[in-house]
Amino acid sequence: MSFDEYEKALELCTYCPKLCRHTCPVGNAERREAVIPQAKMAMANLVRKGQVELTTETASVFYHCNGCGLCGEYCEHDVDVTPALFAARAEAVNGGMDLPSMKHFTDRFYARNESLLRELHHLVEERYFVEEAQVAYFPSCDTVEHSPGVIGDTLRVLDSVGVDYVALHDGEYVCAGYPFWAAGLMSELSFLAKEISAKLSGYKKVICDCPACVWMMRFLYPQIDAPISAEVLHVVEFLDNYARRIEVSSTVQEAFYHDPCYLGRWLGVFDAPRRLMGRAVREIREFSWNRERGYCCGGGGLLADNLPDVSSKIARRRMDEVARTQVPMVVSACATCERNLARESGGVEVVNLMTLLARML
Amino acid sequence: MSSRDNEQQPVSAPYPEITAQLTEVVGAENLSSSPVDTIAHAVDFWPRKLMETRAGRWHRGPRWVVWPGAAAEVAHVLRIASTYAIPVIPYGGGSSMVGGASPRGERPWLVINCKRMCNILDMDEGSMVVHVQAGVVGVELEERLNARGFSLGHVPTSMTTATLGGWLSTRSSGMLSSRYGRISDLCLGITAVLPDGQLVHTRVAPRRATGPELMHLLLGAEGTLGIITAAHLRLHRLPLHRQFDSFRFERIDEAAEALRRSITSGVRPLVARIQRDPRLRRSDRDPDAPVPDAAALARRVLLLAFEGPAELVEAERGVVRSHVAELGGEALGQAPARRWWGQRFAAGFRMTPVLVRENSFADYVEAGVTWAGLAGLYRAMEEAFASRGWRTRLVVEHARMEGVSLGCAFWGDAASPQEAVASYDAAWKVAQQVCLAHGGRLGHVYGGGQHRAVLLDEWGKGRLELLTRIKRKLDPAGIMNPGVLGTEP
Repeated sequence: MSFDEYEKALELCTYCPKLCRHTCPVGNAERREAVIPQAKMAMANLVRKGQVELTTETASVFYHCNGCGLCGEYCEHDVDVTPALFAARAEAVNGGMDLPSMKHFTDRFYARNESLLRELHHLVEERYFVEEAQVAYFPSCDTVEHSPGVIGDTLRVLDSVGVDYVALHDGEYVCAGYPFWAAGLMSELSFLAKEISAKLSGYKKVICDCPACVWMMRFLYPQIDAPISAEVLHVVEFLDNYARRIEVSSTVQEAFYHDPCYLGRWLGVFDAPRRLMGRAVREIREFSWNRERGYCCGGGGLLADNLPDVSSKIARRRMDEVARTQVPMVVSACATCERNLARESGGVEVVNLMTLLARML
Repeated sequence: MSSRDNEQQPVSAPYPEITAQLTEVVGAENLSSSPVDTIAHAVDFWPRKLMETRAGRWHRGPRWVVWPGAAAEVAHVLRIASTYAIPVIPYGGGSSMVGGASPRGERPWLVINCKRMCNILDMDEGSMVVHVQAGVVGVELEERLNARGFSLGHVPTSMTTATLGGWLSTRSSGMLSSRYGRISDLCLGITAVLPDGQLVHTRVAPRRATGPELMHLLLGAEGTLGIITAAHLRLHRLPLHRQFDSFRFERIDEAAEALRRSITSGVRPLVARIQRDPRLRRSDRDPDAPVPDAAALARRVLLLAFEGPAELVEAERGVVRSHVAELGGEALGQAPARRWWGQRFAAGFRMTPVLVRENSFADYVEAGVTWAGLAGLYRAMEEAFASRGWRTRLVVEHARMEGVSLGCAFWGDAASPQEAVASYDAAWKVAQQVCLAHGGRLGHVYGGGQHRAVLLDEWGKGRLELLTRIKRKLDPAGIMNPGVLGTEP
């Protein structure tokens, strides 16, 4: 997908009176005009048209986006800012911009992948890694690194509803490549996607605990000639069919549900996690910005790595709303969200939906 | 050197020295001369300037952008700017539609972006008064107030992008102004920094009779006389009850008269709008739809919303219905007005797809008119634009005891970038002439800015001279947003 394919979106934003300003977690956190969605898109447009030189400095603006897509939700013109800005990042990378945060990115990605693969095999009994299976579970990098218990919890919940035929995917990767897409490294993404696609296409169904992995495999892979023939589902989508079978021994009085951007806004999955959560929580509390207009945790778009302070500020805004209540728990269905929100939790427990369900069995 | 001489001098001080002084005041992290930041402050939403940008004409950004965190820092920054005669733009959301927030010419501009000053300083829930910093974006303020059971009651189309300071500086009118008034009606007191760095606090008291209200010197001054950094605002409790009504009339005359009778008999609707029959939208979109006849084109609908205690709402609805019945209006139920309410922010998006088109032009004219002149001005405006092949959409809103605002969105296409700008200017000229001939006062919903057509009519020569004299006294170095509201560039 070339930069020019986003001409219409870039033009519309350039001539818009900044009406989505309030939706941008990065713009709200930084309070800097240059990083509101309209200004980032206008800068990308000026670079596209050659009216502003592409430099490390101008390109850096494209990385002040957490890729949440909330601005597009508010836009009456349905402009999709995230893919356009990620395409601008690709333009910057291809233009040889020496962005500090991108140094040795590919090497770091693969080194982390190797390390997490080893970790995964330590975490999960080998009997779960079965080559011949109808349904494969593809755990994500952030889950393995930051919420490793979620993998066992997921298998336990699946077992409890009689789904004992899910095997762990015994592949070479624990990431569908979202970091490459967000970094603008499209050729690296293309290579990785084709490798993963070839491996996963042997299954009938693939379930992931990372919403971004699901979105990548389901929607982006086909666009870069790496379609997966298997049906790719988030674990809550898969488990939703068995929700009534979940028998819990106790319940939590009340907890907030945080919509992960990719599970909610990008995949349109809002009710399934709430139905599942309803098995273990008597009162589900909603954030003021929820469902289609759910506010990001600050963990997307490589923001937590590139701009950690901004990322923390975004998470703090989300958790501040919880702090104003006496509710002790926030539940989500994405390891990246949990990691980021937990950093600003202020004593509130941030827990994965699978862990909560497993705990209450 | 006299102050006037000073104004004409180019900035001669070394930039590094000025940068160092500004850094000392706001800190290095709150000052930027990076192209990333200066480009982001180069253009506001003045359609004329956007049309030039579209045609490839590059607009210079400011030399410096600073983000002060408090009024005291603003004062220091303005003293530096006065010392070196650096022109200053006070910056809120940068969504001005009249060039009020964009640098012009070759001088090195300093933008003071107020958005770090965004906190609620105090809230007196019993008196229903909030003290808030002016850099807060409108929707953020409203959300914070709603969380505590209150509303400001000011909802302009710029709700999601403009700041409180921008609203105050342009005397903004919101969609609910018929009930709650415009922002200047809601403002009880301000803190402002004058160009020489002096801080001014106007007192907040229910009733004062001790001299002129100086607050009103700065409200609507568009940053030409100082920078508003905080304000005390009147609040309203979140409504318990809201209802809608919609009525169709054969002509604008009856619709306007029904609204006039209602307003002048004491009804304060939350929303009162007269616009085209929404059913005509189908013929706009669908080329196969039957072409509406003259009668259909002449029909207008009156959309109303009411809020408050249920008894009061129902009483007001009753009064309106009786006036509508007297004038032969057809009741359409709640749905059309509800539908408009659900899409009340959509209007802000409508100009963009037009401006994206090569050689197009578009803008929004607003005229204040007393009830007596409304129907005549409405028809004259419609005919004047249509006869030149320009598209328009007229709406009557902001109803008050003495009259209303007539809003006119216009747009069209030309053969070249030059012709587009010429048509744009011509459209404003036509609007100005029609207003003068029919007793209207031309304006713009977003203030005056650099817009000459607006200024010529709105200000008039005498008023402009008076403003210039006041500005020279308060701003001898001529640094505050020069060139805006007809002040010396």
